[in-house]
Amino acid sequence: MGNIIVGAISQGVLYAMVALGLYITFRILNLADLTMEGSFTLGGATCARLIFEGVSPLVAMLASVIVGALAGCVTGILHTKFKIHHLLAGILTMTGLYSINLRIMAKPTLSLLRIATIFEDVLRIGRYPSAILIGIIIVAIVILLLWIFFKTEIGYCLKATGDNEQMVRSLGMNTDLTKILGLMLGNGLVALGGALIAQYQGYSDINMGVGIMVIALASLIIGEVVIRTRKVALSLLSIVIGSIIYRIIIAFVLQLNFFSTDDFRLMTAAIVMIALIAPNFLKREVK
Amino acid sequence: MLKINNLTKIFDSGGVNEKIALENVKLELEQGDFVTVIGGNGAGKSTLLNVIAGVDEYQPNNGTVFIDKEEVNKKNENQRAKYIGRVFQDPLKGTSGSMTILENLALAKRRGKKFGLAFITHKKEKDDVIKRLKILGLGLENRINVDVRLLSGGQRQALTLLMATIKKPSLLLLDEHTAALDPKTANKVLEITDKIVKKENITTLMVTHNMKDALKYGNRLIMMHEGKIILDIHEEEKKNLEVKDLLALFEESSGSHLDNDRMLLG
Repeated sequence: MGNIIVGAISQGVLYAMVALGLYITFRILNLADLTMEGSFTLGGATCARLIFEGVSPLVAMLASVIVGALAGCVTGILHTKFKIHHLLAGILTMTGLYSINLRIMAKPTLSLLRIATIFEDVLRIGRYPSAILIGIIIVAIVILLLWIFFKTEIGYCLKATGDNEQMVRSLGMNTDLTKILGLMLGNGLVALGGALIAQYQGYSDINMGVGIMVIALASLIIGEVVIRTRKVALSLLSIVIGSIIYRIIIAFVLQLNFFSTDDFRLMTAAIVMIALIAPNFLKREVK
Repeated sequence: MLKINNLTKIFDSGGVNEKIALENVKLELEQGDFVTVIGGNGAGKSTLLNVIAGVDEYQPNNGTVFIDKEEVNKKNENQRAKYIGRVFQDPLKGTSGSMTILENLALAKRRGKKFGLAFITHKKEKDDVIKRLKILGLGLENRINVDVRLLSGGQRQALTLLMATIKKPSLLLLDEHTAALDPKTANKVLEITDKIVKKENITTLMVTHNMKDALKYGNRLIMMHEGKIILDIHEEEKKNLEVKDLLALFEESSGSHLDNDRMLLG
């Protein structure tokens, strides 16, 4: 049982990266960006292929961030310059990415068995603890950078764009650019999440991104329920905590024998549905 | 400051719903002019402001707009922000609700500047922001760290006005900026407007549907009808005018009755 929880925590920390990406596109920019289902796999595929070819894991992860950002850029340009609805723009990019991901991996599943990844257990503390440690270090660096970024002029403009586009234009900032930038940033982080997960599980798979948006959404919403805050730094932290809680819930439910891993996505969808619907019922009771 | 030559804007040109919103409009404003703009629905008041501001769908079919003697036709809305401060009818449009008063004003101070990776350091700006907020006389200077979404419509509109002018614009555009407020609050916001515009000597175009306000404020009044400026009344002449004179002038110049109740009641 202890092992299951430690495993859940390690997954929670690593998947938090994806939820951080979603936070930027969904919460900050107010866009429902399905690109991430493709850019998550893209990140995993790119990283796995590069490591497979002998590139160092850190460089491979950096490459994942860049290609993820490019995917976000494509969606951003489709949405802003060609006025395609953000949902459709994301779906178009995601669909195209499926083929690109297959090309990158050259097969549907690319195994990293017996190849060194970022998750080498150099401290000899066990697979899960070292994954948690490395995951926390990487996530902490990303949160710190994001926190600093959202204190800058462009960071504020990004926040204002999701809130009030007209105002940002009146201030002389191009909202097309802020949206593209936000989508690049978000998908870069999602791809980094894909790279981490591919290394963690030891393979990248063409379908690893399916349903990832709802998984990230679950983490985001659970985090918001647990820590109610309007401060960026705390919001970012709450996402990590939400992601860990989400994994622990899933691990417990899977323990119940009644459910199998096949029910994983149904459970995820149910968690998000409950989290979204519950506040309505609570409000009604107060009235 | 502002010069407009032969401005024509036709919506759906050549289509079934063709509408001439502006027809050969000429207008020249001197530095410090505070011009009130009145006219019935569809007279072209808001279209005029949108064309001047460079809003995407409002590219003129003909004519040129000069601000500070510079032709701005090719510049889009965000490029023109350098010259223009703007307040809309909707109090939600001018401010970011999820940011604090201080954050909103800190952004507004950078209007027209290139936004980069420099930090928004509030400390440096705090004193100036507080000083400016005091001008509004709404006590907002004590609430600078409050999220703007918690403010009332009138407070938000006053804040938007301050945001539009905190970095002095070459031209201030006010598009019925008090229309969504209750009469008392509207008057308060108008008085603040008057105070700021006079103090900073800002060239201003203020669209209003209220004839009394149009006469009370500003040093010049223009009336629009069917896309044209049909009346242009300056200083002394304007001072001696009353609402009934304005109505008579309107009927004389347009050859029609004013059928807009909202304007008569104002």
